[in-house]
Amino acid sequence: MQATRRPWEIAALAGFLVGYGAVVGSPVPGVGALLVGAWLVGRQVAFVEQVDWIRTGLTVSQRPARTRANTGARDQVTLLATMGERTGPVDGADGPQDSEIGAFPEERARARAVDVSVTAGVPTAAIVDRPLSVQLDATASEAAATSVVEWPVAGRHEFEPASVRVRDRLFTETLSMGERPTVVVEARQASSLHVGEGGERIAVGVGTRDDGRRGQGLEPAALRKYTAGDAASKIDWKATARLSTPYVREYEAETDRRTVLVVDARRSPAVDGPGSSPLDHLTSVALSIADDAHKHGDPLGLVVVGENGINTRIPTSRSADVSGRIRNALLDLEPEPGRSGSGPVDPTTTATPTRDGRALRETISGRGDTHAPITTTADAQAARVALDGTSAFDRHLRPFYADRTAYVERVADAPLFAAVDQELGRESGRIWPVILTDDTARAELAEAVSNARARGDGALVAIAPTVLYEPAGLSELDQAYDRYVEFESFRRQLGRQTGITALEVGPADRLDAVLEAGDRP
Amino acid sequence: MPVAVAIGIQAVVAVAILGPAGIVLAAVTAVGLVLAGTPYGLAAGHVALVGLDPSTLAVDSLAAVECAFFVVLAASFVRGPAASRVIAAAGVVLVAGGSVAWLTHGLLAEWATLAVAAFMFAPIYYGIYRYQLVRDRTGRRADEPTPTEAPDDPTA
Repeated sequence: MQATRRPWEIAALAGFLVGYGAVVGSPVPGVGALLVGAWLVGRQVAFVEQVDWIRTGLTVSQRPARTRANTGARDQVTLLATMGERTGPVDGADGPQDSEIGAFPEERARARAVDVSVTAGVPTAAIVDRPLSVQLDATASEAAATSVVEWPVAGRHEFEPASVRVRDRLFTETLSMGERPTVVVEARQASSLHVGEGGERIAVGVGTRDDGRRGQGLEPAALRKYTAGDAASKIDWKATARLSTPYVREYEAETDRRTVLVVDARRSPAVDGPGSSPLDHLTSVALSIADDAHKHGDPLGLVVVGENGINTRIPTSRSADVSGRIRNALLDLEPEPGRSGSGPVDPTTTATPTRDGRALRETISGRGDTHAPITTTADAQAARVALDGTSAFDRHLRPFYADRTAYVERVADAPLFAAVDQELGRESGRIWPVILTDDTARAELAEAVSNARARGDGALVAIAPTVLYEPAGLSELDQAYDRYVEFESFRRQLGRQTGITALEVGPADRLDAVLEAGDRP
Repeated sequence: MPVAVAIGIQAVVAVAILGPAGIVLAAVTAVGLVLAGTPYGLAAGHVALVGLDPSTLAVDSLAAVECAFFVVLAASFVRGPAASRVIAAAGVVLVAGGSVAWLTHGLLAEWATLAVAAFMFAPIYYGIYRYQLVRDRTGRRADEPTPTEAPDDPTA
C-alpha cells in the first residue's frame, strides 16, 4: 500500500492545527488535529478492507487461444476479470450480501469506492499489439479484453500473474492475481515428416551407396575371362592357375558421389500454414542428405531454384566450409511468391525425338533408350526439318513436332529444368542430382528427371505432393485420395526410370489420413 | 445523507451550548466539508470554535461539542466498506490520543502534549501499513491449476 499525495496534505493539516493551537494557546485545535488523524486512519482501514475484499472476490483469468504454437504465430489472449461475491463486511448495506455475477448490488457498488485496473502478465518474450488491461468501475462485475499476441521466441513461456491495481484518492495497492498459463512455442520445423514410396517409409541417404560400376578399388567384385585389351596387371594368377585359362579380377569402383541438391524454392499454389509447407519438408530432407554427404566425405553442392532461375548456387566441394554454407542456405530458404510455372499436365507421355531426327515415342517410365532429350528449340526444329514429308510416317509425325517446338521452348525455359540442365553441364564429371520439389509442374519435373538420367548417373527425386498441403486441410478425403493416387502414379513412372529414385515427402499424419480414406469401403 | 444528518446534529448541539453562534460553527464545518472534504471541514470547524472563545465553556460542554464533531467524522464512514470497523479504528485513535494527552499533560507543555496526542495517529497508521504488507504476502489465494495440455492441435 502506497500513499498518494493527499495523506501528506492531511498530515500537514493536522500539523497546522497543532501549531495554531500552540499559537493561540488553546487545546481545541489540537483536538481537531486528533480528529483529522482519526479520519486518516479510518480511511486507511477502509482501504485495507477494500483491498482484502478485492483479493478474495476478484477472479482474473488470462486465456491464450492456444497453449501450443509455432514461432511467429499470432494468437489472441483474453483477459477476463470477474468480481464475484463474498460475505463481505459492508456494514450499513441493506441489500442482500450475496449476489450472482453480473448483478452487483447498489450498496456494494457504492461501497467499492476504488478503481480497479487489471493488466495481463504477458510473458516478456511475447509481443502484444496493445497493452492488455481492463478497468472495473464501481458498478461493473465483469470486464474482458482481448489482444493479439505474437510468439517470436521458441520455448516454454509462462504468464506472469495479472497485475491488479487498486486505487482510491489516498492510497494505491498492487496485487498479483490469476492463474499462470503456459504457452509452449515450438520452432518451425517439419514435424512427423514422411519420406517414402507409396505410403511406406524409407530412410534417405543412409547406408552404403553402390553405383553398380566396376573399376579401380580394393573390394573384389568378380572374376571374368581375360579379353584382349585387358592389362596384364589385372590378371588374377591364382585363378588363372586354378582354372587353366587367363582370368581377370575386377574390383568395385570407388568413387566420390558428387551430390548436387537442387531445391525448388518456388511457392506452391497450395500450401498449408507456416512450418509445414512443402518447402519446409523438402528442406528437412535436403538437410538430412547434406549431413549424410558430409559424414561420408562426399562432395556436395547446392542449387536453389527460384521463379527467375537459379537463386543460389554453391559449387560442389567436400570442405566443411562449403557444407556449412549449404546448411545455412537451406535453413534460410524462404518460398518465393507466386509460382507461374506450367501447371500439372499429363506426364505419362511425352513425345521425344532422338538426336538424329527420328521420332521415338517414349514414356517417361524410362523403359526406352537412354538418349539425351531434346532440350533446345533448335533440337526440336532440327527434328521437325528431318521429317521431310516424303513418307506417310513423316507426314503423320510432322504436326506433332511442330507443337513440340513450342513445348520444348516452354520446358527449356522452365526454371527447374534449366537449373538441372545447367548444373549437369557445369559440373565436371558425373554428378548425382537430388531434386527436391513439389508436383505442381509435373511436365517440367519429368523432363528435368529425364535429362538428369540421360546425362548423369541418375537422380534422386523428392516430391512433395500438393494434395497433402491443402490450406483447408483434408476436408474431402475421398477427393484427396484420388489425387494422391494420381500423384503416386506419376511418382512411380518417374521411379521406374533407370537410376532414378523417386520419393514422396509430406506430413505423415495427413498421408495416413488419406490412405485410411482409401481403405474405406 | 448520513453526513447531512450529522451536520444537523452538530448544529443542534452547538446551538444548545453556544447559542446562535452554534449555527456559525455548523455552517463553517459544513462548508469546509463540502468544498474540501471531511478533514478540512473538521479543521475549519475547530478554527471557528477557537473564534467563539471556548475557554468560557465548561469541560462537559466542550466535550459535547467535540462529540458532535466525532458524529460528523463517523457519518463520513457510514456509506463506506466495513463502516463499523472503520469507525472503531477512528475511535481507537481518539482514545489513544486522549490517553497520551492525559498521561503527558503534567510532564509537557500544553502545546507539546497536544502535539504528541494529535500525532498518535502516525504510529497507528504505520502499524496498519505493516499489517497490510503481511496480509498481502500471506493472504494470497492459491493459483488455480494451470492447463498445460494443448486444447487443440495448432497443426490441424
